[in-house]
Amino acid sequence: MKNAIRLLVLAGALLSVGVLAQANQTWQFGYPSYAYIYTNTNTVTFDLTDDTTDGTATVLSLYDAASLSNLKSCIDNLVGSLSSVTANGTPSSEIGTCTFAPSGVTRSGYTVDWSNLSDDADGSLLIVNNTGAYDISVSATSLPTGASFMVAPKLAGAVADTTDFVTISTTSTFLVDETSGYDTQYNGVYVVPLSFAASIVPSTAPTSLTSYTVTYTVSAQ
Amino acid sequence: MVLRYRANPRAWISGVLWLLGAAAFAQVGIGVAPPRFELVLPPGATTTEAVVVFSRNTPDQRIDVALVDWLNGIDGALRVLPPGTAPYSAAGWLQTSVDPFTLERDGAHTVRFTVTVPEAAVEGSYWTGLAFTTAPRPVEREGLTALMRTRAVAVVYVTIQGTERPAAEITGVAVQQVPEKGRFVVVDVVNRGNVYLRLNGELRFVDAAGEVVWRGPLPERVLLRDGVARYTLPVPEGLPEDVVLAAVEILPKGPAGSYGGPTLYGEVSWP
Repeated sequence: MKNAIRLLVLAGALLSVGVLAQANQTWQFGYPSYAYIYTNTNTVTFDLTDDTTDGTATVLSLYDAASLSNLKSCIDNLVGSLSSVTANGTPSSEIGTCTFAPSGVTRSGYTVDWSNLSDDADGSLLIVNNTGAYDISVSATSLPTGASFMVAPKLAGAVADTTDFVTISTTSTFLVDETSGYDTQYNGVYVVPLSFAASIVPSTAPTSLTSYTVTYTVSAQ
Repeated sequence: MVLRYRANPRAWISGVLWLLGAAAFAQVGIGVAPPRFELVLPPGATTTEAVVVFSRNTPDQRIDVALVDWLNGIDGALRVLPPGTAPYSAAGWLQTSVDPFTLERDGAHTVRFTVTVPEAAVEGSYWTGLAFTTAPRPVEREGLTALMRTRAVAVVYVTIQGTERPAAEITGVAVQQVPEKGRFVVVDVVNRGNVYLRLNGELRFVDAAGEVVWRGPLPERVLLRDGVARYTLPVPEGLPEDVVLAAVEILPKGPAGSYGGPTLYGEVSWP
């Protein structure tokens, strides 16, 4: 019995060492020069059909999270701001847009704990590069009609206004380069916080899944 | 653990930790080694090169391969374009397999490509790229959902040996005030030659006595043929009152580190 316990303790110790080794794995690669990009952010959702959040709760403070009640509130504000109402009514597409923070973000893999910065981000990018200069651009496949999707390379609390956001289009748009983001304790390893938002024309608010693909591209020109 | 916000060196903050998430089923990452090829070849030459596509801390991934053209904007960002659509495209000179492949967890995959330079009617630099893109992971849920993926581009420059004519010029140095963002020194550099240039340099502030009271490096930029590079450099806080001049000095380097022309100099009176 004692031997069995010793064996279990030894196995546990070895397992712990293995887990620690994995957790402490550095991002150094055995190549003379390289550029690597990684994101722990799998999906970003703006669900305007109910008030429940899905996955990681949004952290963005500049806008309310996407939800049915926040959509109704936004529409009320837009309609209330109209100076007059015509007999035929004003097309909802003309009354303005509503901008929301995500209602859910799914993440996996390596995550940055931003707690010592007294702030958080919806997601993050990791860039590993030993060539000095690098740049990250962002683009999307066919975007849904009536909505625009935005990302800011900042912690949520640092997003001060709309100019901090990059609007994602089908054309590659500059997001960050080696002068932005955060250094880490690992040489040549950088992290970029990502905070998301979407502007939606109320009449086109998606009531079912409408997905599209966002691509982060790294190059070391 | 230390993270440092590079745009504001004073904002060094410690104590941020990497955590290994419990779920490790869908994160996406991809890398290329080397990230760029700077080939200098005579007309009619052929060479075969290899780029390694690799991953770390990700599950098995399907990788799409594409031959692409690209340009960099005035801000330096790479814009991926369909092959054969950019001026000075070398896409037609490059042959490789663009079949998708599976990149195993922590694995590496070598992609070979062959570049053949035309016999005649070429001079200076041309460029193209090989783009490797992870596949997004579909989800089922309500609402507007963005699926994330990553892409690494291996950049390929081809310069025709013996035809290089490097030339660049600073066309403007100005001070710009951006509401709520502060002041910036804006520098425009134009490529007048026929090769791409790699720009490095320094921003300096000089006082009335002619002494440099602050200096900082410029971010490295690539100035493509016919291209314009714009530096938008934040003015450091706490400059002395008697600063009278902001100056930039830029040392261009040519293809593969060759001579890139004389040092460039520009200045603007301050404030």
